[in-house]
Amino acid sequence: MPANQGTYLSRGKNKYNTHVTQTFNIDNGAGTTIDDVWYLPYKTVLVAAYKVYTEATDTTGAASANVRAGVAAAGATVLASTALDVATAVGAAVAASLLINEFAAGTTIFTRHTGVATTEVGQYYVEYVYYFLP
Amino acid sequence: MDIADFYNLHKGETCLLVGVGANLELTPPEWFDYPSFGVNTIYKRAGTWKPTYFVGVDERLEREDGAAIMDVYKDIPKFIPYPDRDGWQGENVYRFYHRPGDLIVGGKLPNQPHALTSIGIGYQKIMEAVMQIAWYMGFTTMLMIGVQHKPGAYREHFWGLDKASVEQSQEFWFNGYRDMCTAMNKIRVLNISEDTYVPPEILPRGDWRAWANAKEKMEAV
Repeated sequence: MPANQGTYLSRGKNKYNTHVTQTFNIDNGAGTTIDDVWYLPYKTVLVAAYKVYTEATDTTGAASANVRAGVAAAGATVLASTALDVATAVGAAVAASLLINEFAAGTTIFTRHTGVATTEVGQYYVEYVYYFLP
Repeated sequence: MDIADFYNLHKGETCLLVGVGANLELTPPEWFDYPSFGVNTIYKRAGTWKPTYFVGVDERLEREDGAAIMDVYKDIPKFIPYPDRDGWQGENVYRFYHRPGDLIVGGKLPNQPHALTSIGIGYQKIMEAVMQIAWYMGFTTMLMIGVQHKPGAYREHFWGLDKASVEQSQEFWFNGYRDMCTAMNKIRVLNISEDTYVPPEILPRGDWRAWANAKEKMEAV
């Protein structure tokens, strides 16, 4: 039985939403990449991006891994290649600088994690804050 | 003893922060009779010297040296962060909260009650954690030895080369030192290490000869 969805309310331009990628393990292998794919069905504005840590990192090592994002696989037009953060506590949300903000309907954003060899502690995901344009 | 009992326990005193740089034996900790903080692999030093307190934060340290540290420093208060290192268990362990976020946050400075628990401390390098714990304890002069930061030789320690580690930039370390020295208003930090590569505008320099209050006693032995 479908859940009660309540009264429909127009969300409007100012309603922010979040998209989170899969959780990346920093030591998935030296130079080994993982791509997270996010399809935007509507014209979209990205407001902010964060690296959110679900497992703390050590004071060294994590910075050898990096994350980037683009509108093509391995691209870096949305987020420049950014080193991960050392000695970062669980729950930390570290801002990443967006290079572009507006995206046409039908765009796909590829978030690529590039890891380091075992054994380096730390896990994170990328969180995007966005809204759709009418 | 609870971790809160360390607040201002050493109010107005001088402490020694002992790094594990390759220059450590040029100014061995035995020469300095002050409450001391040892970090990371300091337990590998030969002899009978032990720090007053130990601080370790890394998973790799826990994995590779954790058991040895708990054994060698069984009787020493050890400051270890939670929730990161909850699995690192042993005697005389005091857990401080590793706060998410920046090193220095207004209103959350470590020189206040509950700074190591409900408020927590942020850090990126081990010495930043040590400085904040020392500040919490009330020390007003912090002498640093075993601090070298020789370019291209970050993996070298007093006990040899750490082959599994990665090379680091001076800027990475210096930013933290500078921020801590700026934040710790009225706290005197002096790098009294020999053969150090940290500029005095980052860590103010001091002459170890002016502080080596136990050198003659050690040499007489």
